[in-house]
Amino acid sequence: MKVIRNISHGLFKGNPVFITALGICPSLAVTDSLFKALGMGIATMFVLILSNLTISTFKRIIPENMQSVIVLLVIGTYVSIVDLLLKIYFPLLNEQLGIYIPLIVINSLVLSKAFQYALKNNIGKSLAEGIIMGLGFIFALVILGSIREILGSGSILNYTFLNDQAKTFLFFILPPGAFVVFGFMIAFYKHYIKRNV
Amino acid sequence: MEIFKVIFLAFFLNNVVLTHFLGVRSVLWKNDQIRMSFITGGIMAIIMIPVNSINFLLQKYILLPYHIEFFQTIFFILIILLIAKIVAVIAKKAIPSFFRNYSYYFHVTSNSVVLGVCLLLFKNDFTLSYISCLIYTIATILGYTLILLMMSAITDHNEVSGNPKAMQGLPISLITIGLLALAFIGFTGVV
Repeated sequence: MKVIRNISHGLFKGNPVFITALGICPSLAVTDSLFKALGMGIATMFVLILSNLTISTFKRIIPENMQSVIVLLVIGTYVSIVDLLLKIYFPLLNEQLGIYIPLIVINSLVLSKAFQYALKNNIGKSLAEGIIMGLGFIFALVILGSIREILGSGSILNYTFLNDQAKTFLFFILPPGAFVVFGFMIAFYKHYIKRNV
Repeated sequence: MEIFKVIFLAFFLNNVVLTHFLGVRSVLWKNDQIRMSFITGGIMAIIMIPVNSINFLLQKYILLPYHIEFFQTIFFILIILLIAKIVAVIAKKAIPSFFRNYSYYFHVTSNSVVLGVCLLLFKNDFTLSYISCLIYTIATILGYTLILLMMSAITDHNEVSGNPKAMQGLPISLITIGLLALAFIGFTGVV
């Protein structure tokens, strides 16, 4: 029961993207199709879990004045691993995501969890926080990605359900659509979910 | 003519905030003072010009000839951290009063403009000259400062205009910047 409660906290009342507004840049940039959003979410979750685990394991031997350099080096190493893995196994996805895979290094979700959580808590707690926040991030990206792909290109996971002549809202797969959909989603979360906290 | 084209592209058409979504967080977050946006733009210029110069040399003479492009991310972030630290040390000595009410590390180290512009410029097959890199960097900073200025003025207005409670703060700023991005799409086809 506790597991389900924690995960639902990560998805709804403590969602990292919609409630605390962390990781805005990737959640705006890669959500013009559901496939890209899923790839980005899984890559970020991988980096988040492994960096939390590593930093909380070695937190006693990291010197106080070198914290920021070492944390960024650890995150940078895992991001390079993800980048190389994507280049080998999913070259098309890597090309579509472009500069947003290396930019996971300074994703504010990964950075804030590393500095504010993993440096202060034990290994089990940090691992659990990484999994919960990663799932919340994937959930937010999937919601944004499916709204924008259904409205913008009339398909879901590259499966088209409209005929060729049908017109779709091009607005939603362009950059302005990202801002507007994201703004309305935050307002939705504020109105219906956060008020019951 | 080529230089003018690069400046126009970086300033309006491929504006880093509106099309590449870099630094959105610093544009939206508690950005309601016009003076502060000039200061942020100046600090970005002080940091990004040396960072891009060093990264240009690094990419051209170390990473590409020895085929170690996969170290790009780690090297770039370390250079940014180093330059940011040097600027912070100098600025703390020179203007201590300024540092007390300005969240330097929030605006600089966790700002994706610095790393994002490096990654946009120095791809694995880049053939740009140093001068065009420098011009692109300066034009990018000007475009970023323009969006900061616009958003700080609009945010000032939004706070007193009585929006619904759920819309106050981040949501209305996001929708405003979306409409701004829609307006900037109108520049398509000028160059």
